[in-house]
Amino acid sequence: MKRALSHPAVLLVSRFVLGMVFIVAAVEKISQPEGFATSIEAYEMTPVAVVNILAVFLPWLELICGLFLIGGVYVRGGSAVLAGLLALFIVAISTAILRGLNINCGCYGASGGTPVGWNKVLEDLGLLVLAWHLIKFWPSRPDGGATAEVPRTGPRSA
Amino acid sequence: MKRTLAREVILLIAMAVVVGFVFNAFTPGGLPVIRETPEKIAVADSTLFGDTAPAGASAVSAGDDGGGAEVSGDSGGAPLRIISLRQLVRILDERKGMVIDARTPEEYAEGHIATAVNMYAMEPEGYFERIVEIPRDSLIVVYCSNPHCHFARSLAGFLGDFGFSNILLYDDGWDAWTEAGMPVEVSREDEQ
Repeated sequence: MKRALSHPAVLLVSRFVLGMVFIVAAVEKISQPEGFATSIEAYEMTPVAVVNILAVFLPWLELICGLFLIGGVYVRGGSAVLAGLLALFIVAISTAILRGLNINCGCYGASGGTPVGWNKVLEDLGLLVLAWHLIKFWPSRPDGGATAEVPRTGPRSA
Repeated sequence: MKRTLAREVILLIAMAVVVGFVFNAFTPGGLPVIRETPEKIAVADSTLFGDTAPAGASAVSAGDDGGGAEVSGDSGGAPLRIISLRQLVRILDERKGMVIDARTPEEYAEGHIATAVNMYAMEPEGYFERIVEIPRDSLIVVYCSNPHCHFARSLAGFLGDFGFSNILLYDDGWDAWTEAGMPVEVSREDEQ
């Protein structure tokens, strides 16, 4: 099982799926910052004053990590950041559902919106699994650095 | 190894902060760093039902809604014009304006305020053809589920950007309407 998960092709799939999902999600939010800010505000989990800061910074974090994943750079760091974001989203969406808030999840920006629902939580859990996969199985550098180059010759453990 | 993972994370976050805020500063539609809460203003009866002028004109000229008849789409600035259940009932009775239900089509079908039209706030472009036909100075009331729901204000912002100048929010929403035992209209097959 471990050999299968360490296989470069399997790691590639995780990298691409996770990377692409976040790139697509980020682009809409970057192009419509006010819409995304409204979505964040609706969760009522943060003071209104900081909503814009989150609306500006989060999508770029998603985009940069997504691009780096596709490019095979800082894979473990990028996966760790995305895992953190996913955990945050899961908590936010779950809390909103349990509080009965009728809001747009803001997952892909405000337009084409999806209301909060447990299916979104499941999706995010699935992505979290991919991120965990990369953090755990992406080879680290021989010198102890976090992320090795894209493996070409097969799995190597540090 | 752990230390370098932390370094990668910090570097990614730092990049996002720098790029994000520079981009935000230089694009049109960029957001102010500190977001303001839009003020909720209760609209006076005289503004809504003043009998010397049509509803549209009196709302635009009246000073008592605190500085602007427009509910605009930009962040936090323009106040939200709130009406009460009593005022909504009177608007409906006197046929003074149009009511829009900003919730999902499914919720709308299950029950809505009679004569209310559905425009799901998260896909407003789908109602473009209908919106374009409405005179811009019409009195419009938008509602959704309750004060926590942001659909109504989001749609109000969208309409404001379109040029509508007399938009009101029934902030208490569908929950308050049904709790007060008000009549519920269910969608017929031939609607929409």
